[in-house]
Amino acid sequence: MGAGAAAGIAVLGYLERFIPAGPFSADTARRVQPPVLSDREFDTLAAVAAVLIGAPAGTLSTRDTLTAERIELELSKARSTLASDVKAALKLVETLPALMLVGPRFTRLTPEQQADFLQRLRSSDLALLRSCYSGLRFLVMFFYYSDPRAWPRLGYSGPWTPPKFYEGGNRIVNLQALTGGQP
Amino acid sequence: MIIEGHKHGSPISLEADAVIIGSGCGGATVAKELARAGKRVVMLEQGGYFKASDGDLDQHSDNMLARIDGGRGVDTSTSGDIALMYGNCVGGASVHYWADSWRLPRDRNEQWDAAGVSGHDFATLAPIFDQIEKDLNVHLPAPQYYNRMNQLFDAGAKKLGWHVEGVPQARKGCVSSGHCYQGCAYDAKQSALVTYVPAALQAGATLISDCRVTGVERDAVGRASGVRGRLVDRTSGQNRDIEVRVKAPVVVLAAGGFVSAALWLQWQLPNGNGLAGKGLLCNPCTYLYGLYPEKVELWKNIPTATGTSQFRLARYAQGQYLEGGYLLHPNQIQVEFLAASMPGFGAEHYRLLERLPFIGSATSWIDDELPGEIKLDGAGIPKYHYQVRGVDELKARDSMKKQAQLLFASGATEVIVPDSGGTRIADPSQIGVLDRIDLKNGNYLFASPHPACTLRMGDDPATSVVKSTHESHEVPGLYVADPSVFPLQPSVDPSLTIMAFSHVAARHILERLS
Repeated sequence: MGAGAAAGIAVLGYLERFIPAGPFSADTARRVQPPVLSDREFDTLAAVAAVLIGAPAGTLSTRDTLTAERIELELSKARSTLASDVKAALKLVETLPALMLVGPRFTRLTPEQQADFLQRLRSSDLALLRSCYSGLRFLVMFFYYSDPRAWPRLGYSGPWTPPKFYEGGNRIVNLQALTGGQP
Repeated sequence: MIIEGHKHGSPISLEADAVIIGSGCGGATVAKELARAGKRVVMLEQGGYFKASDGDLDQHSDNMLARIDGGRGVDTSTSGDIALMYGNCVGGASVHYWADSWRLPRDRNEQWDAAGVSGHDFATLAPIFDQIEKDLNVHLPAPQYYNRMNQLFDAGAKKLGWHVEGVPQARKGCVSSGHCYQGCAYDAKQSALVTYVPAALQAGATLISDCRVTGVERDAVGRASGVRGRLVDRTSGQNRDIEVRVKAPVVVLAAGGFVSAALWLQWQLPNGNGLAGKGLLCNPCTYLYGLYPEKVELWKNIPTATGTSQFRLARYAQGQYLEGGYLLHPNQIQVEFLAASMPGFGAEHYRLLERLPFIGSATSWIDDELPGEIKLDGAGIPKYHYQVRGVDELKARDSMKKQAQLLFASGATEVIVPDSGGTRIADPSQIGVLDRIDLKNGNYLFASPHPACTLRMGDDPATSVVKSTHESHEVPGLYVADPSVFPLQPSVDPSLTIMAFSHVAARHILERLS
């Protein structure tokens, strides 16, 4: 992220405190500790994930696949600037709707308004906004569609070999191992 | 001897004739040659030692990218245009690769000779390639290995009047499981993990996995004298508080095209001409998807049994680019990456993914000429600055137009461009739109599996980092044995060329040690 963009994100971070917030909606016991994202950032990520995947009601949701939790686990392992880039992208997504007078902050928009806003990011003339959309989208898609429960509907049979637990991996079992107990 | 660093609990201090950083195509080749010549060899590998026999290579992306990919599958260039694909495991990137096995074309040999590389000419490399192909069982694939996408590719290419050829494969006893990019669960893909690493170990080499080298030691006159490092914790990827030291008069840097130059800069090795990290080329891959009326099931069997090299060399007329500068092949991509690269989101994307079995794909590796650069940021983290531009952008667009032609000719009813806007091509007459789509700033994600040229080789120290002997111009005893030394791209999969060059490196190292 360039210096200009970083400065812009810092300004957004300052202005965010003046935008009315709602209660946290993504309550989960499966977050890596210590968390990488603030509760607000995690909430935004969970909302973005649900909209991007668009799973119909009654089907495998991003809550079922712990998509936001697994993305946060991935950020905890990144040796590059991925974590700071994602945090910045989430701050931007959360605050821009209010600053652009589209509505309240992202997590307080309706699902339809959230989809419209993400569409605006996707087709923006600004490379920074497109990059925020693309980066978050890549992570969400990977950490939803890598769940084998998503495959039967797609007619995808997956690998022939059963998964073997890897302590450095990023599957739901890794979250369970880190946070203990049953899902 | 193998020491798996993640399980080892005490400091390690060894002496050797040569210590090799990295165990991929380059490092494993040097290790094998030196060990067979009776030298004491220690290989240090930052990644883990994963074996099919233990069930480690389970081919599930969310495990395997963590096990074997250098950036855990999420690393990109600074602009977000290029997905960095590299290895981080015993066997290196060859554990990931598709096993396509090409010799360096003669025209590239001649080009590299003219670029100031000596001792790696066609006549020198030919018998080395003979031996490598024998060691890796390189052969053309039998018809049973042509999945439906490969069959459609052949049919489409022939309809267009393009010649096709079988792609030489380094495989033995392949069971057609597919998912080759996620490692081979059957030890059929002849990666360094199952060929030259075991050969080196059998000849007496020592391998320490889960070991991150943190610096090259040098003596009072600046000669390499060994390395220091730390064992790595697999869960966090962080250094453990356990030191590793290897004393050796020869240090071989073979950490791969994305990493070796970054380490050179991090370790502040001499860089008098400022070229370390410069010249980054990476074979950016373009790809398109086609919707077919029949099942294609892209993930089955091997990725590229066939392809065309008809467009390998770029053609120009009066200095103007005409076409070519890439290979063209069927593509293989697993559902997680297909979902991530298929454009759109929400209900529309969800419904599109339900047509997964009917989605085919073609891909090209651009023979790039306009380089990027590896630099360190203020915190010492490597940053990869690269954009597809100029004549490389023309090649990228031409490759996509050819892919679209081929997909339609092979029966696709629609072509989907994996750009941010989700461009769809309903008819061959619309292929010209590929000249106008935005390929920059995250609009289109290129894959880049073949980084090279960042510690380039040459006889002139003003224009190169290592000599044609693979030894650093400025650090006696420090050698580089990976594609960082290439002066330019080989225009084909580089794995055999990396091994052949590393054979030459080993010869020079043996001369030094004797």
